[in-house]
Amino acid sequence: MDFACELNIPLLTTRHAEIVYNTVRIDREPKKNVQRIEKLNNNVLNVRFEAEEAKFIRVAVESYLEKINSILRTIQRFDPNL
Amino acid sequence: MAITAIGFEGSANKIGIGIIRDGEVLSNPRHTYITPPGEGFRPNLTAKHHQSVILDLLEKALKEANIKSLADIDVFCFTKGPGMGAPLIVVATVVRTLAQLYNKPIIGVNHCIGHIEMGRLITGAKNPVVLYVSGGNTQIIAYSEHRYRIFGETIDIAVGNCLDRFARLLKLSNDPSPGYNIEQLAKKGQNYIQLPYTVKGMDVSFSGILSHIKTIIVGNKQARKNQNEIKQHSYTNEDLCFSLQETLFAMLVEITERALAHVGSNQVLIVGGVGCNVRLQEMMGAMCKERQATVCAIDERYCIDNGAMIAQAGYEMYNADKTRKGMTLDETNCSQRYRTDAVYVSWRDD
Repeated sequence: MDFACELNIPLLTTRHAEIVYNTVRIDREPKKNVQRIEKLNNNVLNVRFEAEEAKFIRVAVESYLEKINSILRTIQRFDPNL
Repeated sequence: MAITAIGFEGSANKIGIGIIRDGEVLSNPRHTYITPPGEGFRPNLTAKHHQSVILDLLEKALKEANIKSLADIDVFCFTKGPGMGAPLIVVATVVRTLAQLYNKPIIGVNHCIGHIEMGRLITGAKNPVVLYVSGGNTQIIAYSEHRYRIFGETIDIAVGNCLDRFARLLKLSNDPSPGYNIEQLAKKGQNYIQLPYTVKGMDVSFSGILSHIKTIIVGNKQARKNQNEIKQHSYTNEDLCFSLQETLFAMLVEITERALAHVGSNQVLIVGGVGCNVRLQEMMGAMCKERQATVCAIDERYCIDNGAMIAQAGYEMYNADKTRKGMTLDETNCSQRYRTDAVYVSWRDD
């Protein structure tokens, strides 16, 4: 694969990081032209995208970050421990 | 012990959240993504709509049900499929997060089975033949040995999809739904236009009828533009709506009757958005009367996609599972295709 993009997303706590990781890893990339590999390091979520063209990565990263955003907003509004 | 279930539905342009406790609907708010006349709803914009509305809708559902916290809910249910990919994932993402925040079991529900179980709950119908008609699905379903078996279905597009795309051609308003506006116009139709009638045994086909009526509409527009008096017709939009409904619904009634005869049932349950249509209910009623059968119809609160139906189906699945664990997170992935007969109906023992 010619293009790659790696994100390191720090979360507030290990618990939050686990919740984000366990939520976002379940659904596979809708298009086969992008590969996505996720790893959890304590409270940092590491995601790596690989594809043949840069525009595929852009689309995948954009929708991925929107998902993360959605999870964080849900946590912010409904976390019983906050 | 009372079980309280919350259901999240967002497979098409409606997002609904419903809370049910032991068969009683405590709340069921819904928000519809309505596009301008002539436009359909696309997955990415529908997903954006759901994402912007879902958390407020959740608060509304809790408030209307008089529930202080999500900790008081026993099981979180959501639509696993079938439906549009992006909207399904938006909803599933929020539900997975909530289930983990509150450490509650999570259940992915089949959308079609949600409709069926809600229909059974509201009407009390024990073992009906189910006509499931919506914008995304058209199936005749009968229960047998722990599966909702598909007796007949559309071989191309759903009947609601045919109606929606026809409404787009006429630039009808999508508020509250294109089907509703077609129904209102159809009541004023005067002339019946002959359209193709495409029943294929137990199955139906709608894309040919859509092409045919599109040719009529576009042909007329061209003729008007070119002021070609000979090629213009005198059909009004009302006539077109009336003729289309009569044709589509007669086809649905025919395959339903065939299923009734095969199965030896005397009850018909109509579910799905198109089930709101009073003309369809009338025509089904006329057929049933001739066979000493009954039609069980439900109102628009439960016909149209809603959260409570997901909660009800999820409740049944959860209640039948003695381990009370729900699904593993890996099993909560969404799938655009999810056949009605793929689910093992563990909660019925008939």
